[in-house]
Amino acid sequence: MSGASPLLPLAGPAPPPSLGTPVDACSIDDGCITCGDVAVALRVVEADAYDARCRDETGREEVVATDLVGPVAAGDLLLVHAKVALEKLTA
Amino acid sequence: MPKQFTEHEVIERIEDMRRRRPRFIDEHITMSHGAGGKASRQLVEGLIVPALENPTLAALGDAAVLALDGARLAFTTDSFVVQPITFPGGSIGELAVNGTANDLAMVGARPAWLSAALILEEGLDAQVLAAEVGAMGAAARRAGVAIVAGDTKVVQRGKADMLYITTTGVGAVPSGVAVAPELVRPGDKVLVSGTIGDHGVAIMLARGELDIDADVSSDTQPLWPLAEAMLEACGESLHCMRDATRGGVATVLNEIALATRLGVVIDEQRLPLRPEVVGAGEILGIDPLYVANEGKLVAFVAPEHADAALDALRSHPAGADAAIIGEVRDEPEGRVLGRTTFGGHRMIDMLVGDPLPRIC
Amino acid sequence: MRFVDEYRDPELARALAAQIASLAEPGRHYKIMEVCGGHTHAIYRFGVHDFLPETIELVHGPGCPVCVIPMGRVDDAVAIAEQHDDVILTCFGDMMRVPGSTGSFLDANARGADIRMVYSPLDALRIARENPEKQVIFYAIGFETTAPSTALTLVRAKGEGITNFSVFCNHVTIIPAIKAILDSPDLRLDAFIGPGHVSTVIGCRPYEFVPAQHGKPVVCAGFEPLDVLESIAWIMRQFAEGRTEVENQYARIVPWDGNPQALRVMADVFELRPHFEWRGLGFISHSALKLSSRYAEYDTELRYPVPGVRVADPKSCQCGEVLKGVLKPWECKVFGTACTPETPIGTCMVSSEGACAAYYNYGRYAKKRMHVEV
Repeated sequence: MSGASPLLPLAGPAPPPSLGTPVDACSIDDGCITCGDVAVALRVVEADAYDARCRDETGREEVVATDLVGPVAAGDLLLVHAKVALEKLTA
Repeated sequence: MPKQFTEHEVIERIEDMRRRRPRFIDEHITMSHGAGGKASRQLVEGLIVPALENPTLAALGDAAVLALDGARLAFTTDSFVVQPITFPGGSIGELAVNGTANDLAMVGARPAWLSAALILEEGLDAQVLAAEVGAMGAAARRAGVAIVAGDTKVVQRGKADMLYITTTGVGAVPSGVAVAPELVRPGDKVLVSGTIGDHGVAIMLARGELDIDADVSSDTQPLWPLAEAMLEACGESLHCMRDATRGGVATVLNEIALATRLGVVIDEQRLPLRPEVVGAGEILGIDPLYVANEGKLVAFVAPEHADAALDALRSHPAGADAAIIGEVRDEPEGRVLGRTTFGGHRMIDMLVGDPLPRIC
Repeated sequence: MRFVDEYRDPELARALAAQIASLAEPGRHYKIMEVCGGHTHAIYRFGVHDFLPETIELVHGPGCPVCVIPMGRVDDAVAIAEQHDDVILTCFGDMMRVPGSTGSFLDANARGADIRMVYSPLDALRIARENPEKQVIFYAIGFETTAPSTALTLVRAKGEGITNFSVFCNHVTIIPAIKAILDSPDLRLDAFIGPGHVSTVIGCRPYEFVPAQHGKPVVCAGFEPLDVLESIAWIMRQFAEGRTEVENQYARIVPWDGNPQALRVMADVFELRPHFEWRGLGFISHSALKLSSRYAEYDTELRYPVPGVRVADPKSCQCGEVLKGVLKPWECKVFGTACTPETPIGTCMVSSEGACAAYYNYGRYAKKRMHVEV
């Protein structure tokens, strides 16, 4: 898919930039990520020390910072809020 | 002490205000005015329509229907500023043809002729332009229309974003065909012609800034074949059609509810939805009911012909996932009510904010 | 999506509804506050009301961080963005429409400021990395769910030595807000549905003062509609059995002790402000975070002269009373006249999930059970 290139170089410097142009990620009318206290469960596909490429069951992928939950490995399930993992889930 | 009103009086006052024509009071145009929701309605009905006062415009249909020497013509125009200009399933050139042709189809007209005005940014890659004009030609052939007039303008670098396209379309309304919101009656069934929200989600993912990858394509396609099939199958029982572009299906349902002062009730369990669109909606906090489509229509059909209309839609590949999603009632007046997948109910209101700018 | 379908089963909902109805004492009225905006959203999105007896009233709490931001903090950020050509102000999308006294961020953009929506503070940092000639400010809002993301972003910014990035910190903390509501003399609430994802970070212990000192149950709940119904059933069972305690309905996600690593990072990056103003609730002591001295160089408020605008909540606004469940939205003096969803005055009208906006939009139908089989 054009533009969506979630495959980070999994070692080395921080994630490659992709410009945060205006997308209303969270609309007031339909609940929003921050004020709705939204978090989602994502499965780790590939991980390095600080980031993990994660996927949900519909195939959508996202790169997530894992500093707050310690080391993760492929197959782990994470609770993710605003691209940051808050908890490793046991399920 | 101000007078203390009763609950009933307060609710009556709110309902009165809701029925008034929207006012435009903002100091600047913001992105919300382009999102197809409440702010767009305030701009159009509060500023533009009053200034250009005429009954045809005031009807605010997808296209104007005009009598000319005994024939009835449908006439409409639309601009396209989508970013990025190409995306999975289509591109700006294809959208510009289908969008305007579909507006004609929604008033029951067979699209015939289009004009195209291009605004080009200095420095635009000629190959990009050639590809988009090629896409317009291909889309026109597929939709059975000819682009018979045009204009090009170039503006300085930075004064436009690559390429904007405005298309204007004319079509003929076959004799005996009448589809319009005022023909909608309590009891009418509400149909959608396929999965909803695909276009908006495809654009959002194509922009790439979410680092989210999923396989969703725009649904841009001509709607006249579906409209024609329904007109043949149920004739006068096809009361109204709208293409569910900006603001999505929820906005169309609200427009019809407001225009008719009837209630629209839908069963969300019946909404045709791709799992990828549902998934993207969950993570972004966006409801697919409010997400744009570029090749889906909503139809209001008398109940005795609803199944015939559904069969007609499903007989065409563009309508394979069509469904009856609800019906028109006397109540709640001017509102849209949904039975949720959970079994409760919710009001489905007009959009206030701006879920996704520049999607068409 | 995982965790979704199994928590949206209408059959189970009906079973829980029957259980709740059987636990309700005849003639007794229950007011339960859902603290978190996410619960309010689930309640409206799925029609959870329809499964409750009329004697159980849900009161929407202060848990929408967008709605509690006072106008002055919006004005301050707008002023910085408009007075410095090299500033890119970034924020979550929900912040864009929140009105300040000189308009919202959307309005400021229309006047020429560069304000962009991002999905994560990490995206704001990326914009800074990409635009070294610009100063990128992240307008941070949110409770303890979001504060760790901001903290982590600052740790990374410092680690990478990125200097053209700063944070305008408006993070707030949930416990002081609950305390402020509980301390009000005219409080009318019987129990709380506790936040879900906030508790992932802070755990369930911080709520123990609510049953211990105020005698009211707290059940931390998930965000699926069945979670909300089940947590109400648990609250009703506490009443029926004469118990008041903190329970964790969301144990599949929320550890009783929270996430110690997130709390450590937050403690490093942030410190408590002596007080912070909440729209509708006024000043609350120790209710918000600012950057600690270790991160002072990343503090927007130290980097730029901040006007420090104070816009008092309009006297006529009675959001505080509505939040505490003392007044119903329609009893407020400005409800539906000066204060509407298009021109909100108070916090309860700003978000469509605020108590007043929800009542404005749906009030007429809330009482009627509509039959919606189609």
